[in-house]
Amino acid sequence: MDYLIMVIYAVTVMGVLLGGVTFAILAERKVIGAIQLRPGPNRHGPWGLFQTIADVMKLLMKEDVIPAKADKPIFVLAPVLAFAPAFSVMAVLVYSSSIGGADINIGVIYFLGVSSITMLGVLMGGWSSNNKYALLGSIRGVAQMVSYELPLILSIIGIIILVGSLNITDIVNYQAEMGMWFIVPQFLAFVVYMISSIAELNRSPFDLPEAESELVAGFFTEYSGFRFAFFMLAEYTYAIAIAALATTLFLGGWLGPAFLPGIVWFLLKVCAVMFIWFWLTATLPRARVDQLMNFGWKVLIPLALLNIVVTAVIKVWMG
Amino acid sequence: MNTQMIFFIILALIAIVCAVLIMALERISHRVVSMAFSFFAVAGLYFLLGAEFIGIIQVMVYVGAITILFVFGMMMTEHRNVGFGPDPRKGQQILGFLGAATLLGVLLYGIFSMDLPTEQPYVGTVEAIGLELYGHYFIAFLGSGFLLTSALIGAVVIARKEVE
Repeated sequence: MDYLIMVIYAVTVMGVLLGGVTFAILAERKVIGAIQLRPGPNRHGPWGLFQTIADVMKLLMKEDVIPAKADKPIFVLAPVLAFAPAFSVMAVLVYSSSIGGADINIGVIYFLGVSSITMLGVLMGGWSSNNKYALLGSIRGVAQMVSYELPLILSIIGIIILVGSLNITDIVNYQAEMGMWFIVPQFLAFVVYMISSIAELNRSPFDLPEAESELVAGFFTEYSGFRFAFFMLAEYTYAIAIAALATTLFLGGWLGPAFLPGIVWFLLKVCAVMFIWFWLTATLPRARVDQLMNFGWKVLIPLALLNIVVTAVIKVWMG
Repeated sequence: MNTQMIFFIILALIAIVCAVLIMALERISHRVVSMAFSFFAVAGLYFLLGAEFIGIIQVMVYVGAITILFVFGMMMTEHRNVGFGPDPRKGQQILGFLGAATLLGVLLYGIFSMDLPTEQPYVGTVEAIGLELYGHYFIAFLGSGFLLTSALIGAVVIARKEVE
């Protein structure tokens, strides 16, 4: 019976997620359109609401092309390897005080550990395509994801020191007891987290792995049809998951004034974090590779370490 | 047969089949992927035993890092024309078989003579591991940290010389 509930929960999350990704893509295009003073997609349905659905239908009906010289099993497996970890991290997210996934005592580490496998999908996809742009894109992507995973994890350690637990419910409950969200006492960590999560997600301004002006489309150059759709799905699923983690850790999860239920607050905060990313996509030019690496290793990691030291000192000092 | 047993058999089968495939497959890229799946199944076994922290560290280090390292090694070296055909000598085959059989015997002896606790489902906590690591094994922990740092610096020094 327990297992049946688990399966139903997973399928429900999957369904909601597919809807969420559909409208996240639409929202991104609408937001960027609004910032660039143009209407954005508006042909399909009222206010362009069915644009992404039309796009997905087109992708599903396309011919499924596998390059002749590609490493076929790996080529087929790569989109799945990219999507599976992005979806499995959803297993530990807690959406409100009563709705949530597995309540394990290492929730945050589970999230970070499993999400590091997405790299494997990127690398396998780029390598198996047998295409120089795909290979370059995937090497860039992995170098960037390895470098920015460090500040991402280090920025969270401050919160773990303060809470004294890795359980996601405990972290939110601590924020409720403290009476303020972690974005206030851990503002530096929040900034580091947001910047490194952009790089981790390969989003603009750090979208070097898929820089279309130099690498065609990066690691998924050779992908078309529904495999391409799968890569996009993986990317946006991971984005939603990272935004949900940011909400839980820094923005108080489901906490909020009582006139709305907890899960609505949670989803609103996720949307706010996603909006910041869309905003940056529309505003900033792409960084260079060397700038990206220098910034990661020489600025973000020292800042994250500084945050850990200061937090630890304060924690010991306050008792 | 309870559900835990079913999951154990599935994960154990994946681990063993993928470990055999690492040996049996032709192309090195396929071997790396099957290695990743084998590591992942072992991590699942840790989860099943209640050692969640060890399980996730297994995922982080082996699936996330070691496999990526192997893939990079594969990309940086010439691999397309190098096959791993069945070409060992007779003597090597016999030696390999003897070695594997001895290892299996030693492992089986160790496992069967071990005193395993059967009751109490125990879930390991990070706190307990941290207290052990920074309390009882502090010197060993620091020592391994120094060792890894010196290995890193050594690798950088060697790589720099080659560039010049």
